[in-house]
Amino acid sequence: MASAAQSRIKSISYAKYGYMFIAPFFLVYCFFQIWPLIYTFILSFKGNQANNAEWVGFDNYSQILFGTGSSQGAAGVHEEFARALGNTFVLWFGNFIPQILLSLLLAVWFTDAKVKLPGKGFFKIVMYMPNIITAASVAALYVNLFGDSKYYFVNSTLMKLGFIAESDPIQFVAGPTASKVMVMFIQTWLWFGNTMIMLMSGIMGISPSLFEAADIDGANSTQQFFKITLPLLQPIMVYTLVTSMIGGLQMFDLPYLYHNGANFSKQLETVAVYIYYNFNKGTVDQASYGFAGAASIIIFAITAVLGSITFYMNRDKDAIAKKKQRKKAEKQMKAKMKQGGLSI
Amino acid sequence: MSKLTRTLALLASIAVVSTAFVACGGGTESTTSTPAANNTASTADNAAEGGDAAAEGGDAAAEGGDASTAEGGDASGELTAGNVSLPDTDDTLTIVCWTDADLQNMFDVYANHSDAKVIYQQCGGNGSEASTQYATYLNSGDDVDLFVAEAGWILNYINDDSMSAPLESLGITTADYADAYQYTVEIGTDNNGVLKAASWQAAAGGYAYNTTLAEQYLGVTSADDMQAKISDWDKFAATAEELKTASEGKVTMAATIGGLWQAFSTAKNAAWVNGTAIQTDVAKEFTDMIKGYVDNGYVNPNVEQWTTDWTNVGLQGETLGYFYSTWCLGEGAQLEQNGGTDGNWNIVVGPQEFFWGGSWLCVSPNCNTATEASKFVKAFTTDASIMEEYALYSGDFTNNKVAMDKIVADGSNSNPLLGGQDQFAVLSEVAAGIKMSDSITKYDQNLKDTFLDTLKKNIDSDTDTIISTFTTQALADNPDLTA
Repeated sequence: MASAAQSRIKSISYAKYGYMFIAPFFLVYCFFQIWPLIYTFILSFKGNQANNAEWVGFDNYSQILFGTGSSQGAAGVHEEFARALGNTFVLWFGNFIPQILLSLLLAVWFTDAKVKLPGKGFFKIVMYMPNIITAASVAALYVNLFGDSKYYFVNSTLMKLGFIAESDPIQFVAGPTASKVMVMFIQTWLWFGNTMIMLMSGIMGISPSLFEAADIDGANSTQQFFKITLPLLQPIMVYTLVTSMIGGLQMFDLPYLYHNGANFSKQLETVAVYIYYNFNKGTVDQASYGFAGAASIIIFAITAVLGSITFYMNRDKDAIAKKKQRKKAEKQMKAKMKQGGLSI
Repeated sequence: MSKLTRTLALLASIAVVSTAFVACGGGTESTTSTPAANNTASTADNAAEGGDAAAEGGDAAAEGGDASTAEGGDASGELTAGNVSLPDTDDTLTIVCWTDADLQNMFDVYANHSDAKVIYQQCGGNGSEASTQYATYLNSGDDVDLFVAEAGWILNYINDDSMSAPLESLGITTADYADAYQYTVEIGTDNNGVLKAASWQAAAGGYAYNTTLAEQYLGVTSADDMQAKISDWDKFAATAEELKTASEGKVTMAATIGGLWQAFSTAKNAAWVNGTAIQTDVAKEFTDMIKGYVDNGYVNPNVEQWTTDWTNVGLQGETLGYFYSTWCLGEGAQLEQNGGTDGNWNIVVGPQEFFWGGSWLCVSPNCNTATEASKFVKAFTTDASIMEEYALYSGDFTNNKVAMDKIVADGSNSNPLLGGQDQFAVLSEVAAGIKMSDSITKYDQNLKDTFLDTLKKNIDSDTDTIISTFTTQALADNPDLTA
């Protein structure tokens, strides 16, 4: 029944069209992604400022990691990077933990069939809202609300209410601790809506029959949460943890933007800010490309290690055990067959 | 059918390729506009404003035509251009700056003499930002004919031939600057002795104080009396103590540590870097002094220059005065922003003759409006009559001895913000003594920012700790340097 045309089509290989379709992406990707990535590696082995063309081997790494190396500022470089790395982790923990707790609580409430919250949609939208504002606007907003002197809203309100003395405003922007707390708070405020939506989708993916069965068996809501919701939510939790970790280690916008005056706040300097700052200190012979490159590679290594650990700890143990069992069974089966073969 | 499929596939892949590359183009564009990120909106606005202003200026020229001919008689048609060697393919002169107010004043004056189309592009909100963001802007391929650079970091740009072209390419040479303050020419000359930049101002500074507060707390009624009370740093501190007692600690003597640093450090004519070694003697001396000031409440360490607080302490009468440079004294500039328009301010020389910053016009190697650029640079850096007009219009101390001497001699300047005082009379002596050329290095902006930041954050530590913290940070930022 096949027509001539149909049989001709059979002989055409569609594979080449496939390659043609994906070629543009790969070309662009190589030019603008792969090469810059490789070049970052190369830069990390080259010098800084006026020596930026010179090959210096692991000098940048030893200065950043151990404070020893060719320049007199090595100790300072190490100190600054260590501070930046510390800040990165402090800021990440400080916004991730409250964020996940808050999101989890809200997600459970919003998905619980027994809790009939009116205006659920409204709340979800309102809580997601901060996430659609750019960090630049958010930073400007908070700097102007929480400014360091009595001329700004929060401090002046606290003064009028008599909580703090007029001569002693809280340094929400320049203070080393207060500014970190502020950045954690803003990050949490920005991202909890997003995390909540994600966790809700995870919870809604759990079969309602499990909850019904638990209800009938007399499990209370705490038991249901810890025995059903949390274990079955694990894949989504891992996803949230990994994305948040990658985002947290690369945290840049708020720590960089949240400051008064001309320069970014050193007490909020994260590794990403460190990289940007070293890369952008004026003209070519002012910038420290080597340090910026080395710091990028170090943060990449840290992300890779932490990511692997997270995955290792959260791998599906049942599935692995089952796989092992199956393999073992297959082996035994084969051995038996062999034996059987011999006996015949 | 298969033809149709193939055509569609071809179209689709072309679309994908083109969008991919369009996206790339977008990428570079967005990186180039990153420097102006905080000002993206304002850049557009400014450009628009600039355009409007130019148009308005045109009207003004038409209206004010009589006045200017009556005054000098030699207004328009006078502008000359040098022998340019750069191209002349564009009809809009684009000047990159962060000092929009200055440029706006220049355009207002320029419109009386020329109807050329001149616009400015704001890049960076202040000198520190501009110092790093220019590099990206200049490499971006966006139109730029001239750019404005500040003393703190101009050396980075004029010593880099990919960033700046010699003024000779606009037909302007050192010989044109016989009447200029010589330090401006020395700074504008690069390591190879090529003139790369020209300044329209001599950045002499003074101490501007609030006359109402001075009378209320110190009983001072004239600028001469005020100067007598603060003519050196000991007297300055004694007056600060008197002020503190009289005002019960409500009024500080100076607004910011940054301003005090400017007054204290520049007159020492000591460079931050000698060879590759960081020099901290002046910083140490200053730290000792400032720690006393902060302990005694003569200055509030939490107030930062160029912030809302900076403005508020002046407007609310919480500080007696500011250290200002000439470019702070014009209409719309810092004196007005921080002091209001009541005219209850006066300026005096202060404890030390000092100078602060100053801006230079540099030529971009990509300049494509050479003739107009040449006319503009010549008008504002060599033409005595235009510079006089600009000084009277903007309150800026221009870089031309003839023009400034004439204004002081004629008594033709009175600044309403200073209650009619002529700031040029005060500043002209300071300007003559500026010796900045030996002391500026390309590390200045970074080291100054780092030092002041360290000082403010660690004000309770002892001097040695502050200096060593600063040195550590400075060396980390600048691997080229040594302690």
